[in-house]
Amino acid sequence: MMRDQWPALIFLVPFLGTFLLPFLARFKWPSACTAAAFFLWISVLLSAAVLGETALSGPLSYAFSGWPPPMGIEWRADSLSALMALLMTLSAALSLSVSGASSEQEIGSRAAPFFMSVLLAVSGLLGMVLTNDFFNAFVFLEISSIATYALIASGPIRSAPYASFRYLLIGTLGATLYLLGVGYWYAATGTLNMSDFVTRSLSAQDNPILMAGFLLIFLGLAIKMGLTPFHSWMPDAYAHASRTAACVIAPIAAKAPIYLLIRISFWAASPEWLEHWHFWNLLKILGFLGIVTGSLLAFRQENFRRLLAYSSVSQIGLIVLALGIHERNALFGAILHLVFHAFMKTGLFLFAASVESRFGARTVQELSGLVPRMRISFAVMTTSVFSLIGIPPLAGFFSKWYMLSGALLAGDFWAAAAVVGSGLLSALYLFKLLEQIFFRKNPEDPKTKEAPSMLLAGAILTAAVNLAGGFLVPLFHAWAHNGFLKEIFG
Amino acid sequence: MIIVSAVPLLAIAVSAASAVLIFLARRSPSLRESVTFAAAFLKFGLIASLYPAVSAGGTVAFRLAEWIPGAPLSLRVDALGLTFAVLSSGLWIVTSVYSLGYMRALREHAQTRYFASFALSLSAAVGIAFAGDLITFFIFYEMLTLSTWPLVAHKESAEALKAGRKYLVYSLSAGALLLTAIVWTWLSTGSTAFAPGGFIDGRFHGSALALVFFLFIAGCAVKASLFPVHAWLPSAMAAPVPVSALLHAVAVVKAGVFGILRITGYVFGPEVLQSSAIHQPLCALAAFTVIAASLIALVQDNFKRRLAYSTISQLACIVLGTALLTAGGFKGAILHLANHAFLKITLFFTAGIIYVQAHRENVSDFRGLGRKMPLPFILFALAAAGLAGFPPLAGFISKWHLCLGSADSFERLYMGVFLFSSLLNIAYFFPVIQSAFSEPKVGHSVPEIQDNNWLLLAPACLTAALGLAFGCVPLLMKAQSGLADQAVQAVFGG
Repeated sequence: MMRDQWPALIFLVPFLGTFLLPFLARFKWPSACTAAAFFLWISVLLSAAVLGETALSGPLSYAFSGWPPPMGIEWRADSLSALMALLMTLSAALSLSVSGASSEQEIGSRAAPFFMSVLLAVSGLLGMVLTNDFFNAFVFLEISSIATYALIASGPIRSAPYASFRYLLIGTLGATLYLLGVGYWYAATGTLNMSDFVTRSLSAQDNPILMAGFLLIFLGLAIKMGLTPFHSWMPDAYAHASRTAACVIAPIAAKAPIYLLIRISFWAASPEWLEHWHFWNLLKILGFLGIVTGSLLAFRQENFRRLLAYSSVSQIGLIVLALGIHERNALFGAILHLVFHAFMKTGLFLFAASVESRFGARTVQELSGLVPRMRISFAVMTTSVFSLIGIPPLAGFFSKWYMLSGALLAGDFWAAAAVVGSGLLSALYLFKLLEQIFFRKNPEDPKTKEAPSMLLAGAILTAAVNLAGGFLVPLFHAWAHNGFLKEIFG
Repeated sequence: MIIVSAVPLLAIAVSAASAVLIFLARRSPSLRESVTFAAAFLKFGLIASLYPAVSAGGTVAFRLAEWIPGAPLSLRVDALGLTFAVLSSGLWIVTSVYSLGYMRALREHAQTRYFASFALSLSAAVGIAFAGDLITFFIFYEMLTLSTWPLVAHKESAEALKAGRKYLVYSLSAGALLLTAIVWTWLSTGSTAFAPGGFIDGRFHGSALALVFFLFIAGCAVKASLFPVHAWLPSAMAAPVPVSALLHAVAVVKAGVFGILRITGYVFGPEVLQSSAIHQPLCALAAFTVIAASLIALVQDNFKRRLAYSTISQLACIVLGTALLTAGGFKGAILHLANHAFLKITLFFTAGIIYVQAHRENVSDFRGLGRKMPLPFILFALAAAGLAGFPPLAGFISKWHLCLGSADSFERLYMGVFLFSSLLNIAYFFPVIQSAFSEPKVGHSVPEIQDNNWLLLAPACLTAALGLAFGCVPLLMKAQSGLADQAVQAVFGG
């Protein structure tokens, strides 16, 4: 049946598209950007179809080359991975379609290699999300990382290669730790298949190697997602990458490692075992650190994109904290935040791209003079900012609501205070940003015009998602409670 | 009797929509101001049209959406909510006239932002009044914070920006506490809908009950500027005078007080609080605020700051009336919510007139002004007397009920607090009048006074007249007290 192959095709279309691009580049039409966006949109359709299928008839499994699991590599799309695939393809396709055209002044003649890297990075992330094999996930982690290094180095600022190199050093360390952990797990259980691992690990739980492997894997993922104290690569990377690269990569890159963290901590290991090793507390502590560090550093930033990057550090901290609560509502809230945060950040990075392309404005100071000429852009940006703070009834409010209710249900008042406090800390640096933009007089620049229409349309779409968050929540709720929440919590 | 109608939603939406129109009409000031007036009259008309149904004992309800499964958002117009909505939307019309005169006389900048934020604030205030459940309440509560921030920071001076930041820090922290309390209530009771007499009966016990009550009250107390979270209000006097008049004497601070009324009457209910005695610390805190704020007001030389401390003290009177948990106190609180509004807005209006026409802000600089511009000071004296509780002004009626309420309560001492606060009222308002009508100091000249600006004077005369009318016109008094009685009956039964 064709539908069994859909999960693989979600990945294969952009992946094979990567290698088609250099040939397509020989023709005048389609441009590399259009072609890359085209492959991603096909992937979006496939992801949507897979999400529908999993909602109707349960998880889809696909064995590569016909080797049945656990021997062969299995791909599995269940309610969570299908959603993640849709989120990533949609976010990337949207960002690429609207920002690709305006990036010519930055990439110039290097269009084909640039868009190849974009496709490769996104397909790597898709592989991480869809595979049901620990080692396979490592391969895709590396694929997406290598492509991301290239994208960051492609930025127009002279220090971009340096930022990329830093990320490469730290990222390689993360991937190595992950691989080492997978090796330990293989030694302890003799399997690489995630589903198979669950059953086999139960009998091996007293084996300390299992925990050592778990910690190594966790460390590797923590580095990759930019969890404090491993976040230092992120601000440089997102501030130096070219505009298009930042729009495509920044909102989703950290989400795939978070997804893998959810997989290993909620599916692959038993909660009591993790409780015994104080893993949930570790998550909460690191998450809390991330919230505080990210917010306080964001408060001090002058560069707009660096501010956004530190804001991501703090939001990732919040998600990890919510995972550490280990409660049904909190997990739901974390997933909601994962999804909504991608749209908030897409909107904000698209905004950054439009002010940079119109005016070259990179610092917050420069923004205020643009307000009278770019009213719609600024309104859209403000929507994303309010959603990030969690102002009701925008999308960010609902994720906060569920994370908070999870913390209260678990009787964990410290975590509840941290969730609420995270909203206040983001308010601190974001209202500072709004104050500088709207209440500081800067000479109005008569040369600026409203943002390029494509970028503006994309930003408006993300704002619409933030505004419509309330309508989406009941859908997500029904889907999650019939899907993965039932699997995990019964 | 429950009537389903979309009128409450329209009443909220009118001013939000007008904010958009105001922005679009930014190139033409007269068109922009006409939008404000059209919206203000339409809003007041829509809200007034609900009066017959509500005064006949009905409740107007409208279900909005169910975004969080199990916690639908709804609007519900009852006697208490209608009182607050009529009050703020009615005074918005008056304040708009005043704003027009004030902003034009001073040639203020960013008038579009000013009028649009004003319209949004009114949407939020009426939304708070009509909210049928805690989440809807919270949505509008946060909206009120956001839409009044540009008004506080309006001048964009270092002082104004600082006041804006202070306001945000206080209000958003309060919002966080309130949100925690709401989520907790939702988890424990499975409901968020306001119910007369409370709905949490039996779901919280002991320290959990006290903690939730504390979170709710702390969340609302910031807007109601109760000690020790009152400090933002005097700073917020950096805002233009019409903002202080409508928002910092009526819409914003009364939203906090209104929240406390809703929480005690419609979430916890008098019986639960009475049996656990957790309302007593609130009573003590409110009583302390009443006295302390009045004493601080005595030494404020800046006129608006003196009014701000007076507001803090009067708001605490309302909170104290609520927290006494007696039918009389609750009624007095609702009446004072309205009557204090008429009188305090008049006081702020006169402050603005003095600022615009004589450029004086400090009480000590008022010497000699009274002879040159008597009308504002006469209005001031009238409203100040009303607040002190002189009959036949409106303040007398509400203070009377507050005293009755304390007589029924567990602690008669609080009657003394109300009476002493009236005395202090006289003590800090009288020097203003004394200063204005005394001879200027030797060597100081009385400033040139601009001609009477009727766009400023007429609203002040009108609100002063309202302050008088609600104390001696039977028709109005009956309508007002009828609504208050209904609310009291719903909460206390019988």
